[in-house]
Amino acid sequence: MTTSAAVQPPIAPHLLRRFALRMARKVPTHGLGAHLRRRGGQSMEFREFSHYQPGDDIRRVDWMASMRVGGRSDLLMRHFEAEERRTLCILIDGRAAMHLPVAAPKVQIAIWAMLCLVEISVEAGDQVILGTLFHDRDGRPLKVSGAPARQAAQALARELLTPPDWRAAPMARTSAIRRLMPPTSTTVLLTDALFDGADGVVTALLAELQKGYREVVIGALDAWPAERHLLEAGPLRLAPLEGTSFGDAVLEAPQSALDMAETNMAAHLERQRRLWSRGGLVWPRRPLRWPAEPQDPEEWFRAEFLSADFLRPLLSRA
Amino acid sequence: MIWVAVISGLACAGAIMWHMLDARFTETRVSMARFLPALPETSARRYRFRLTRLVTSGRFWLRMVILALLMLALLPDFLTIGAARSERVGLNIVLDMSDSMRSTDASGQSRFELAEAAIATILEAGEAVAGARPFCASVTGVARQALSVPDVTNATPRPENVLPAALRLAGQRAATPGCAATHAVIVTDLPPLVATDAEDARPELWYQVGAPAPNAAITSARLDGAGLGLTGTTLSITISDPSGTATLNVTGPDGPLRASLEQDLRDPALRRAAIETATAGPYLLTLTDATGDAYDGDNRARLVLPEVTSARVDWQLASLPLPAGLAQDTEANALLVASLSGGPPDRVALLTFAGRPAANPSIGFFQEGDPLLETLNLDVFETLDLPVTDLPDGFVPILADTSGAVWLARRLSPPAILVPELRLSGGSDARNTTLVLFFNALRDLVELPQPRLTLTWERPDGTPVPGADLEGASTRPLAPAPDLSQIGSRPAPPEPLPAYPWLIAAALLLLAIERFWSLSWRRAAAEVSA
Repeated sequence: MTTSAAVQPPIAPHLLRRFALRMARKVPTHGLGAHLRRRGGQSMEFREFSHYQPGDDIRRVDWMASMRVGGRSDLLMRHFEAEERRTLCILIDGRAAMHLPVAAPKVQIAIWAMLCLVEISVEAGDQVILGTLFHDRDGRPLKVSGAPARQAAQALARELLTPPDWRAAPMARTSAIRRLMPPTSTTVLLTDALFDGADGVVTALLAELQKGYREVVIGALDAWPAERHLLEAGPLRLAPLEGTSFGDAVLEAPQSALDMAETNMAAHLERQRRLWSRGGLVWPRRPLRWPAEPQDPEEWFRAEFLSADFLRPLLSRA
Repeated sequence: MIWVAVISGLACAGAIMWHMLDARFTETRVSMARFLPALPETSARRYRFRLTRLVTSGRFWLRMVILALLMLALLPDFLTIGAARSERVGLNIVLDMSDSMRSTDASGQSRFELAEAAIATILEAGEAVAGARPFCASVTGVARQALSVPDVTNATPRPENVLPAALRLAGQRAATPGCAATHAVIVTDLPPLVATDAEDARPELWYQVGAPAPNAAITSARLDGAGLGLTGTTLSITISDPSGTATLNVTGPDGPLRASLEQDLRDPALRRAAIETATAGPYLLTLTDATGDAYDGDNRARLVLPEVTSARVDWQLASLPLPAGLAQDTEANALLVASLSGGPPDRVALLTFAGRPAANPSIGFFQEGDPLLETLNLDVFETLDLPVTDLPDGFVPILADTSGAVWLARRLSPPAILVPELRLSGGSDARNTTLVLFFNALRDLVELPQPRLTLTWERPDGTPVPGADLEGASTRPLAPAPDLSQIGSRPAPPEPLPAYPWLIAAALLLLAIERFWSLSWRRAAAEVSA
């Protein structure tokens, strides 16, 4: 794959726009979603009628509707959507483990997802905050809007694609993101959620990002089938990763061990879910999972991304 | 050499096996590794040999190509690319280093000293002819002792032609690094060979040095072994002595021998000495007191005289005693010399027969050129009325009358000869003729091969002088000095450009690629295992 292709959204912008409009119409306005917390305001977009209450602005009375409905005491008030610009914060897990599996790295999928979300946000006029976790760039999140957001996203993608230090233990710095985050925002964390998190830094950040009108959507990436396929291929020597060394021995991975690893992972994810949940967390049960032997990762992304569960709450309009 | 081949073969085999080595495991990195329980070690071997790994290994083939290029580069004469014509004047001076160049002329100067002066002259002429053009010269020595005779005998089989051919060969082949020869000048005391006109030959000049000078030399030795009339071996020594003053000293196994020299009747420059009943063993020949002796390498020689044994015969002939050079032997395998009685015996034999008078003594048949008829006057023979006999079975006639009866007959196997009986009292012609026939036949049956004598020349201090008989030919005419202005007159033939610099450059380039490739590969491997 060329570097150019790696930092371009695989899905054409017009398809993304069409998809966003369709989601805005079809996704139900009740239930979970970023826009449930939006308030009534002064925009041109009609929201609802209500009966007049003392103290209401008399200028909002819909006289014609009131004449049709009833008498003097049955004045109807028109309410409009509040035209607040949404702020979408996209955080990408930048651990070395995200560069695996080599054939279709998770970080590449996360980058493509970021680029598509940025494209949709730019078209909607939203403000975008781009940041990383467990990466050298953690302290320098970007707050952009409009067309420059595309260039910023591509620059960030290039930085994320640089070969990682496989031995370095992951460490997250979150203070910059916290300072930058507005009171109303939606944060998307693109990660496999397999990091340890024992230090509680990420948990604290996610709790902060769920306060008030904020919400957090976990864009879970799952490459376990592909990695399981690698482990089943035959004798192997495990290379060191993120501060953990596995020795020089040539090993075999029996099915029982793989099943146990799968169980361990599921338990770990469930534990993370409990830790992170503060009322504003959206973590769909179905992650974005790619098959054991992915064909062309770009083709697979085009086919699967738009049906990812974590997109629905992001694109609904209440 | 065989060890080098074995070690090279083992090294190649090791390299090939190393390239065939393939890991049976994969270096794997997975993001969920920390969730894996402790995995068991595999029981399979870590490595295996795979031919496909060798075939598909680009780096292996790259290394093989580099090796092949370097081996080709080691054979500079094998590969050439094009040819370049140069303005350079490069002189390849070939100096005859053979022993004859030590010869001195009347002035006392050796031919080496004359050659030294000639080379200085040639260099001056070369520089003058080259003018502004680049000029260089190299000197190549060719000695008879260092000649590899098989290299030149194909073209010049005669020994005396070996050295001139080698000189010419050196002029055409020799090249000095940094001085590609365009012309060859051969400095020698040998007469010039006819210049070659081959288009691709390097122009050559033949510069002969040394005026003709008389030379005394031991030229050859011959052994005349004991035979029919001789009772001992005779050592004959021939010397070349134009002045006629030389003295030949001979020391045999029993001490000094007297050797009186006699003039050769056919060649006044040759003198011969004969030493009779010479004892077998080593001999030292020394020539002294020669006047006008240009070359001293042929004045002292050694030879080994072999033991000469007498022929053994069973002599039963009463009319003639056993010759002094023969030994009596009654064994059945010895030559029988006897009168014919009854049929001829089935053994090697010389038989005389009494026979019957010839009905017609005219010669009806004779075997022309047969050695039995040597020195025989057939006209006299017909007048002698010698007896004849019928041809026995197994014999072929050599001399027969008109009726078919034979005077002389031969059997091939086992060899036997019939001759008329001796008439020792029958007048001069009859006696001589029957004796000629008898001794011709006897010589034919008992003739011994003459041992070949080889002379080994040496200096007074014992240093061998190979081919001294050829080196001492100092009386040859002296050719005039060549016209040295010819140097550079004829354009030098194009010199083939060697391909080895390009081969080495290509090998180095490929080596750099291979190293870079290996570095990338190792870096990738290090990243995987990091």
